[in-house]
Amino acid sequence: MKLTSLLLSIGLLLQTCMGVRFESLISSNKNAVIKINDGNYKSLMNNEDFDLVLFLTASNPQIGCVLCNDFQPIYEQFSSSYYENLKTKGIGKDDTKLVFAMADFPSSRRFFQELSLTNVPKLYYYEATKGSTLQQQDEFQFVVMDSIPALTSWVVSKTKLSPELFTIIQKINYTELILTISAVLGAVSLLALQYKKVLALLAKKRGWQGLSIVVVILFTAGYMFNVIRNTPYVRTNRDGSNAYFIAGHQAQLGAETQIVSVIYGLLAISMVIMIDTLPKLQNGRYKLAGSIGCSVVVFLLYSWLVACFHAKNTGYPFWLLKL
Amino acid sequence: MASLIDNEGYLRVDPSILKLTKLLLLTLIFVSISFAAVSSRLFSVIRFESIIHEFDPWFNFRATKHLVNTSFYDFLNWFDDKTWYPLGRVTGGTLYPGLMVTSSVIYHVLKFLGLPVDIRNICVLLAPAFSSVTSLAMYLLTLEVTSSSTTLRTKKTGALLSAVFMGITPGYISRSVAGSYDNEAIAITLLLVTFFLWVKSVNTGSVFYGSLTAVFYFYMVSAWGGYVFITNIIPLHVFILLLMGRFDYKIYTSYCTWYALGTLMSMQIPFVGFLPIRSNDHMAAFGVFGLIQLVLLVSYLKDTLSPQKFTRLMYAFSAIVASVGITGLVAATKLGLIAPWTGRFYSLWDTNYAKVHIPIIASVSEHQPTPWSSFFFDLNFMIWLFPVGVYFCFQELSNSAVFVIVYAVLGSYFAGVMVRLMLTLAPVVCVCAGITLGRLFNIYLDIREEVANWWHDKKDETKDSLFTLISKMVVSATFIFYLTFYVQHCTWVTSNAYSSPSVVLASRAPDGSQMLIDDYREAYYWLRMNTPEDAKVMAWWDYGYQIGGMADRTTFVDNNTWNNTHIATVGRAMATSEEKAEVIMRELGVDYVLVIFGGLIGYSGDDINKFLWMVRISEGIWPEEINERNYFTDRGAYRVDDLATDTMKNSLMYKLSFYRFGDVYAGNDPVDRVRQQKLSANYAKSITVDVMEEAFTSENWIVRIYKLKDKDTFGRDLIDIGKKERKQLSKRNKRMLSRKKPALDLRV
Repeated sequence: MKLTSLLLSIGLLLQTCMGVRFESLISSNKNAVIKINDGNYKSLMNNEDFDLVLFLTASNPQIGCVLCNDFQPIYEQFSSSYYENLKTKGIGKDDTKLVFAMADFPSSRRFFQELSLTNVPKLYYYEATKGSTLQQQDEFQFVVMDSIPALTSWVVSKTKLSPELFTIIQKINYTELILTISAVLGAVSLLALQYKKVLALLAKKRGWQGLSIVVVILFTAGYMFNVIRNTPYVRTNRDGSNAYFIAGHQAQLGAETQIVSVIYGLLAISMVIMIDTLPKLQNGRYKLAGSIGCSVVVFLLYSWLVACFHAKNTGYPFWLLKL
Repeated sequence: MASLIDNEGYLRVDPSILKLTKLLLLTLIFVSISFAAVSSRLFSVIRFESIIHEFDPWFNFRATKHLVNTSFYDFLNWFDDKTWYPLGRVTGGTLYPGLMVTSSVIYHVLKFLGLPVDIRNICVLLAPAFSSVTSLAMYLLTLEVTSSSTTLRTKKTGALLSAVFMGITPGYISRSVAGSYDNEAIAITLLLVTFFLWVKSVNTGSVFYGSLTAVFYFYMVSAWGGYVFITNIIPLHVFILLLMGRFDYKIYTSYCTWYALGTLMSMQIPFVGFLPIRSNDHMAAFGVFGLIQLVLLVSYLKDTLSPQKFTRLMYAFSAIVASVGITGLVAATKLGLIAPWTGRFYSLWDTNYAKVHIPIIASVSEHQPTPWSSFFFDLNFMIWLFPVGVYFCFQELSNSAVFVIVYAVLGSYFAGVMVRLMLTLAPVVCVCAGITLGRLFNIYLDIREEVANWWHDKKDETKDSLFTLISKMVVSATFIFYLTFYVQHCTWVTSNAYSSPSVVLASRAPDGSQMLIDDYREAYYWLRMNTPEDAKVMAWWDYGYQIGGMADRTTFVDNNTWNNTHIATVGRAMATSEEKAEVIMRELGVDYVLVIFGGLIGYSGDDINKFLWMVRISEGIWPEEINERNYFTDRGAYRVDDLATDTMKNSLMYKLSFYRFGDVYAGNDPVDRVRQQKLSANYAKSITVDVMEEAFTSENWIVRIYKLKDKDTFGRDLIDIGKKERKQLSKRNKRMLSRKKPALDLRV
């Protein structure tokens, strides 16, 4: 993926001298959105050959733009269906040439500055000859509801192309399909060949014990919150350092769940050692050392947990150890 | 002689006295647990007053008053024409009557005893009273779960600890403070009693306990929609026991007794009706009921037939059962005999479902997922004792331990998906924490051996036992410290987070003293005293129950949210322009409109912040008329000041909120303190309302009430009249300004 985009940008750079042609652009990319970055934006923006629909986004999870990440797959599917339709049906009578492109924030910082963007996502339409002189109505309005029909009607109203060009072509993800089938087949064959061993494995108490405890710890550490809200893993501060905790009970980072579940896990292990393993020991000194060690570990871990909680709930008045 | 010193020097005591002492101690412990549980729930009564909290409790309170004033059958047949105007609501058939019946029974019993207590006080204090019963039930449950343990010597320690935990855990207090008169107040108690009886009946296999389980299950069904949790967890427990090969007649007896009796009884509740045999939520229970009969048959055949015949029969049998079952299920669904999953329940499994399909569910903050900090906030150190408890349930895997494990895994999943289901998780966390700490103290507080060694002065063992004694002391001391920390945490959380009635708000005056903001009750009381008894008040659905309960006026939508279209209509009236809103309001028959506005004092839960939900919900029905995007500026900002979009500025809700807002600031630029946006004074003056007139605005402007003007006698458009008047006014103003005023100041 990176290699192709690199090649593409080199190709585009070469073409800058000659001026970018629609045909060469279309033939060189494989039905994918054309990626714009700081290297190639000038040549693409200032052309007289084709119209441009440009999606400006910031897909980096650290920025945490939910709408960008929601819209990007829709946009990619939309434009690749367009390119495919273009190959099978041709441009049509109007011969408006249209190119779909997108620019992602970190790789096209200069371009974004030039557009003086303050927020993403944006979807702009540029007419061939006018270049970057943008009218207000050339911007797509993002709505919460189903966006593909809205997108189609917007592009059609701008370019006067026939709507047929924008019928969505559902792509089958072959790798996923094959993976699923092989996984199912593998599982079935394993079950058929070794069912006694599998059954024995399923009947093992330890396995279920570990599984239930891990599941319980994950859920109580807020794993479902991350899944449902699709939270970023860490947050980058202004000065470039990473923050692992967000204050407040309304938000959570992926790293928080990991840290907290590790604490819970270690606490559980030391508790089990303290209650289950140590009393079985014969040597009194080991018992002494073990139980005191465990209670110190528990105390430290619990203090760490309370410190983490302070990061979430800043008004919390209690501390164990100020960490 | 009750006690004497025998010839070996031991003190001998009559066993009955020991038993009596034990009982006395146990009673004392329970009295103190109840005291702790009840008193920690009284913060709100002490700080504010004995008042019903929030939203739903107001409906429950109103329904209870209705029940006390009429008969039980009248109550079940109650058609309420004061809500959902003009539709009305079949209230008797669409509520869970358990809560109201409970408090009215208490009311009548007290009255019979010669203690006439006001029904409001019973309602306010019902939840704390039941919380002490809950901790008793928790004690019994934990005791029953650990009853078969062989390694645990003193089982009561863990059980008592879990009872203490349950009594004061914020996860449960959050729904049961005094004044929070909601279904959950008694439902958690019933949940625990049902679980205790279920575990007991599985352990004993007695029909008596099975039937008792069913009776309390029925009580639970009558009290809370969350009974579905029981309906699914008990079959799951039985199913897993079957998978583990633990089928026996005890399980068979208790499950069949519970299912047959419980289902029949639950169908007697009008609101539940035929759901237990139709809705998919109940299919698991039915399926396991069928399965357990088959398992019984098979185990009988296994005893009588030869192994070969048995296997052949089994294959044929399972094929038939599977095909018949699946076709039956599909056919019944296709024919519409079985209802699909209800939305609220479905959103538990597919977490994106609600977000996409049901904005009204997504708009309720209780349906949000739970971050880890909420778990710690509500359960404190029990949250890390919880997995350890699960571990010990596996170590001694009795049938009842399996129940705890199933409950723990399911409960933590549900609590992770939905904040408010923390309530159903809290009990099992308390059980597990109690088991863990019970075991810990069993080992580390038990210093009899060491003391005995020291007492008898056994030289060779004294040193070793001294070491053990020290280690035991250290461990117990840390955990006793954690327990005191737990108590402090719970008290802090309860007093800071869960004790606000939300009808009365507390804030701090600039000098630090407490200031009570009582705008809601002020406004509702105004409505009650100054409007005709049949006046119809339009407000967003959050306030429906309160208007009904406190102001006793007819509402259009309320927190029952049974009719999405009706809610959307109200949302549409609020979201569109004045002209269109006037038409809608006249069609609906609106007399008054009530809006909540927090901009003046910075109360963030106001209608302008909820406004987007009104827009979204009405957009779901009228997408061509309402469009959420129009309420955001081009840059995607939600603004209410001069830069707000025209759609926003023209919407009825906006106008009603900000009308005359500038007057308070006397010429200065008014500031919306919730959104932190400054309106210019001139713009604020230009916000007008023509079809309505301001009837009442509360002290801090939180509640504003408008009256819909009567139609003009000459059939003129009200907005045109307003415009004309303003024009003339401005002309006159100009004339006034052009006239030179005489100088009035002193000439020196």
